[in-house]
Amino acid sequence: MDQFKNLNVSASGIEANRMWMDVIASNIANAKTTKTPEGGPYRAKDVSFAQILEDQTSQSNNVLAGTGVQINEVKDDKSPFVSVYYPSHPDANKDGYVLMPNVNPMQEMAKMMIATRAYEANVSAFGSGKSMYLKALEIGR
Amino acid sequence: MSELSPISSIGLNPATASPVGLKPNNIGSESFKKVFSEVIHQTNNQLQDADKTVKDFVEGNIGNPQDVMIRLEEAHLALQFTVQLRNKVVEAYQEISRMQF
Repeated sequence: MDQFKNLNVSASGIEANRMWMDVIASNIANAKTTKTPEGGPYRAKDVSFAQILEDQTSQSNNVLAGTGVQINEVKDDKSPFVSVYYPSHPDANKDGYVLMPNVNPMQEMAKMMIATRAYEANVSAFGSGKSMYLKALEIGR
Repeated sequence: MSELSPISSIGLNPATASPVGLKPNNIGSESFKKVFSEVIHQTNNQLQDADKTVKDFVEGNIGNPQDVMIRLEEAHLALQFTVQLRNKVVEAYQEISRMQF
């Protein structure tokens, strides 16, 4: 609904950041996964965001104001896998090396902080939009 | 919250509520009763939406709490708006009924 547009924009940001957090959690959970359906170790994944395009049916005169965000795509990180010397591992090759996922835990933790803060920022924006709406109702009081 | 569903029947004929939106340029051409009953209908729908979202969440059909909270907030704001509108209408009515000649 149009009267809650800024709330919907914040809601889309909240949702997008939650999905990003899911991807980061998957990367952290699979940091040592050596078997995947595609074969080989787990590939780290990352997301890109895209602006939600204004639908043409709404007769808003400022088209660029107030559009939401969504996850554009979840892409595999193409960086090479890490080869670790680990002879007792079930997936070790004859030289004792195992291919480990290309997940960098430090990087994932940093992304996690960004996602958390972005989520908080969207919740704050939602709260501000809400209090502006409530303040507007006080105009006539 | 389901006790709120009969809100649509306070002397207003639901059949008069049309899907015409509240566009500023045709407010003057619609009867106030029609506009007001439409607002009440929308609010009622929003409350029922929120109700359904809470139910879905409790039953496990929705996994994330933010959807529920956002629906609830929207319903809350819509209700506040409608209550404020109603206050204004009652105020106007009382103003007229106090008129002395």
